[in-house]
Order: sequence, then C-alpha cells, then structure tokens
Amino acid sequence: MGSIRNTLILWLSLFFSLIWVGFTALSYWTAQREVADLFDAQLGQAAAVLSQIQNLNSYRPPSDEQILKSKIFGRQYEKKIAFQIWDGNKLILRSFTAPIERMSSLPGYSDQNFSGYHWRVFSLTDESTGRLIYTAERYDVRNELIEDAIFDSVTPLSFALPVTLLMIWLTIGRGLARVNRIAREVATLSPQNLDPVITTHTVPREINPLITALNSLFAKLKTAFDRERRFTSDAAHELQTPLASIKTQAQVALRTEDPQVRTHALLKIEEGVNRTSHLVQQLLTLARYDPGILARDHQLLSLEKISAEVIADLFPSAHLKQINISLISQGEHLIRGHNAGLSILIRNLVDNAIRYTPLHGNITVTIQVEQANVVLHVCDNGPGIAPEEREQVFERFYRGDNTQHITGSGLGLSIAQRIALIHQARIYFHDNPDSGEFCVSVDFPVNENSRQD
Amino acid sequence: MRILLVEDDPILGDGIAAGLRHDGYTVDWVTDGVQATTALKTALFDLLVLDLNLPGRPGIEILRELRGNDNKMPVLILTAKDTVDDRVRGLDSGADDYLVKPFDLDELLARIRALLRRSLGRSQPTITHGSLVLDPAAHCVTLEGKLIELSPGEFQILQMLLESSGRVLSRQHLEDGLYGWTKDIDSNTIEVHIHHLRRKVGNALIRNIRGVGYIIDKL
Repeated sequence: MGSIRNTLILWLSLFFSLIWVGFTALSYWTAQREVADLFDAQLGQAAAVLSQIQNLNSYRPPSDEQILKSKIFGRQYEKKIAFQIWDGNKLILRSFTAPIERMSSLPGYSDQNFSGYHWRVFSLTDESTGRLIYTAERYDVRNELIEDAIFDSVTPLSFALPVTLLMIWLTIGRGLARVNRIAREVATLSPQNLDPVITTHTVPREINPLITALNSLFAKLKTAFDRERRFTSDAAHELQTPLASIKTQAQVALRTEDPQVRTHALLKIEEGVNRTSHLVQQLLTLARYDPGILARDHQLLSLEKISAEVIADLFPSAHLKQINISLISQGEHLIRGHNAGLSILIRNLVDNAIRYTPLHGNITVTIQVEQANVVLHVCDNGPGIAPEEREQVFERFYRGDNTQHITGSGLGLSIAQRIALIHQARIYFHDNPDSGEFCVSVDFPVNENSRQD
Repeated sequence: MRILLVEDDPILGDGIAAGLRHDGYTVDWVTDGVQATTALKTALFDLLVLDLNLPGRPGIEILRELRGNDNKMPVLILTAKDTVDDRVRGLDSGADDYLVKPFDLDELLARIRALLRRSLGRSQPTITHGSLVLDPAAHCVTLEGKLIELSPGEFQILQMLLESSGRVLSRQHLEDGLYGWTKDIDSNTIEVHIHHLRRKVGNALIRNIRGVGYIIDKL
C-alpha cells in the first residue's frame, strides 16, 4: 500500500483534470452550436436584406471598381462572406468572393465547397420576383470565432486548474499533518515507556478507532512486559538462595581441616547444584511454554500413551517410597495437543503426587470421558492441599507452608497451568469423598478432542 | 557464644551452621518461624541470624515481637531480595545488620563478630585483660605477647568470661554457650575446661564462686 497522501493527491488530481477536460469539451460543443445558430441567423438575415435591396428601383449593382475598393477597405471578414442573386438561370449579382456558378443546389442551409474553402450557404427564394438569393460564409471564420469564444471562456479555467491542484495538495498535507503528529507520538513509545500518550480528544475522529485500538494494545503490552519483568526479578531472587547455599558450603569446605566436614560440605554442594539446575530447567520450561506460541504444533496424541511413558519414567522415585502407582483407562483417548508439553504437564502432576505422598502410599492416574470432555485425574492419599491454598499454588514460586522438607522449585504447577492454557484445558483440585483421596484433574474441552475406542 | 540460626533452606542452613561452628560458635539451627519463636522463648542466645522469607511465620514478625519484648539481642537478617525497601523494612523492624544472598561466609562471620562486640560494649576487635589479649577473629590468645594454645572449648569459655568480666557466669550458662541443645555433655566438662585454662593462663585469673559459677574480675 502506498501512502494515503499520494493516493488522495493522485486521484483527486486525476478527477479534477478529467472534469476540467470534460467541461472544456462541453463548452466547446455548446459554444460551437450557439455560434453556428447565430451565424446561420445572420446568413438568413443577410439574405432577407439582399432580397429587400434588389427590389428597390434605385438599386444598381456595384461596379467592379467599387468592389475592389471595398476589398481594400473591407473588414477582414468580408472576403470570407459571399452572396449571389440569380434570376432564373442568370446570375444578376454577386460578391467578388462568390463564384459564377450556383453556390448551392439545395434550399435553406447547406455546407458546400468552392473557391478552395468550406462554406456555409443559405439560399432564399424571393416570393415577388422569383429570384434566388444565396448568402455564404467561410467555415474558417466561424471556427476562428468559436475558438476565440472558447479560448476566452476556458482561459480562466486553465488558470484555475493548477490552483485547484495546489489547493488539493495543501489541504491533504494539512489534514495528514495531524496523522503525522500522531505517528511522531507513537514513535516515542518504547518497551520502557508504553503509557498511552495519545489523548483521544486531540485526535481526528476518523483515526480515533485506530488510536483506541493502539492504546488497548499498548496496555496489554505493558501488562505483558510488567509480568515478564516481575518474573525475571522473581526468578533472580529464587536463584539467590540456592546460589548462597552453594557458596557457603564451598567456603566451609575450603576452610575446614576436618575431612568429614569437608566431604559433607562437598556433598551438599552437589545437592545444591542439582537443585539449582532443576530450578533453571523449570524456568526454561516455563519460558518455552509461553501461551500462544505452540498452538500451531498441535497433533492428535494418545493421553494413555503419554501417561504410561511418564509413569514409567517416574517409577524409580515412586518405588523408593514404596508407592503403588497405576494407570486406569477404558480404551484410548486422543487429544489434539503438543506432545512434549502434555508430557511435562502430566509429569509435573504425577511428580508432585510422588513427592507429597507418604511411604507406602497409592497414586492412580485415571483417564475418562466426563460430560463429553476428556478428563485426566491424578489422585493420591497424601496430605492434599488445603482449600484456601488451592488458588495460590499456581503462582510462580509459591510453596505450601508444610513443604520445606520436600524439595521443589515452586514452579511445577505454574508450568502445568501454562501448558493446560495452551490446550484450553482447566486444572482443578478436589477431594474424593468416597476414597478419601486428593485429586488434581485436567479437563480437556470437548471440541478439541475426539474419542476412539 | 550461642547463636540461633533461622534459615529454611536446608543446604544454606547447613552451610552457615558449619561455618559458624568452625569459628567456635555454638549454633542452634531451626527451619521455620514457629520453631524460631519457641526457641527464642525457651533459651538465651547471644545473637540471631534470621532469614526474612520463612515458612510458618515471616521473619519480620519474629523480629518485631522480639523487639516488642524489649530483647536487645543483636540480629542479623538475611534476604534474597536486594531491594532498598526490603532492607529498610528489616532495619526498621529492629535488625542491627543485614546481608543479601548470596553472601560471603567471611563477611557473615565478620559482621557477626562486630555485632557481638558492639552488643558487649566493646569498641576494639580484641579483648584485653591486663597482659592477656584475646582476638575473636583470629581465634588466638596471647599472654605477655606469647601465644597460648587453647582448645576450642577452652577458648570459648575464656571469651565468655572475659566478655562478662566482673559478672559471675553460671555453669549452666557456660554449658549452653558451649553446646547449645545439640549434644549430651558430661556434667563436669566445664570444670575440666576451667582446670586446663587455669594451667595455661594462671590460677588467679578465673575465680570459682562456690555453688554459683565462675568470674573473671574487672580490672
């Protein structure tokens, strides 16, 4: 798309020029008709006058000498007009410009060629004498006059055209200057300064919807930027404590002379590094599963297959705590989704269940259709989450009050939540009153899924 | 010197405790705010190292309660948030000093020494009693300019007595300062340490007040 300014100027100039040309053509045509009528009337008038004159007894045809004289002193148009008077087959009178043969064989007005010119001829029969009177006028005279008339009327218009075009150019420039000012205002915006600087009352009404949309976009961007900034800051703070622990243990190992203390400190350093890299891994995962990025990579996946893989991966840690873990499902349930994402989602939920379930506990992963939606439940007989804490646990780095004996980054459920969001799924907690189990469930919406038995 | 460490992070808490113990302090380490409150109510400590971000009860609240009870114990706070707001809030709530994670163990120990020195009313980093000089940072004692070899226990007892010179310290107080809650101790260990100390620094320095405790007289 080119600029609005150029488009407006181009089209307006084109239209004005066309109108100007059309107007000129119309003027020419009208003037020509008017002038022709006028001249025809003159020819008629002249013929009538001639008819009156030749009836007067005192009339004598002019001698050739007189004709020559009139030729010298006559007006420039005179040689361009001609007349003849015929009495029967005899030419009794003619102007020196007229030929000796009849100028026309037709009655009334006609166009004829003689003496090397194009003529307009009028013939009139005198009722009393029966004589034929011809009057004629050369066309170039007429055209000259018409052109003069047209020129006179079109000349002012010709001056008006460039002035009009200039006005169009100036007006458009002036109108667009306001748009340019807004463009400059928008140009001053940056990720650091996304305040809606444009106040709508100074904006042309036509651009108002655009500005409103822009402002709303800026507000959303600002929120997103703020969220990211806060996240970065939170993440940095979360890393401070594990880093402090590694540093402190390293310094203990360096200064002690007791080999037992040193070995203990080194083991703690290793533990600290593992914990920190787990946290970094989780942070990267969280960043990678930004909503809206992955929707295009979705494919049809079997929830049972992914769950089985996740359970097989996590089995060693469940086995360490003698936890009985099982997968319950009738048939296979297919979900349109992101393979790695769903795997991380289910892993985080099952991993949480293993961490918080006591020794010899039970975990069941159930996949079933509920009200046409596919729902995945991860239930355990651990302590669960208090109802008042169930909203907070999705916040980044939130860790429950009774969790300090259990390692974790506080990010697992935030990640699960994000991945669920990408799949338009909902995560919720509930207690199963029959079995006394605590369950976390993911509800995948119906329109996204198809079931296959 | 008995220090209460309140830090919920298991690895960091373990590291700080080990570092403090290496420098001869007695450390009692608790991991949440509720335990910290209980500890502060049931025992006497010379200093508190307090993480502000605690499960159970926020560090700031523990600090306010401590100062509300007119407890003048020196408090050093640890924080992960390097914002002025956080530090100001900590100091305004009654902390004497702060450190931002991750910190240097040497710096932590130096700040603890400075806080203890100030709380005991000393301006010098070393404690001098006649010709006897005890340097808490270097962990060494000289008598008439000559270095005296002391075991960690002997050093701590000597330091405690010198810090409170002119006051009688009970055997129980010395035991708490030496061991905290962590170890079962032989009931006459303090006597054994005093016995060794007297041999090294001279019999006259430490006096036994029968049935009450021990004292180093003010000069």
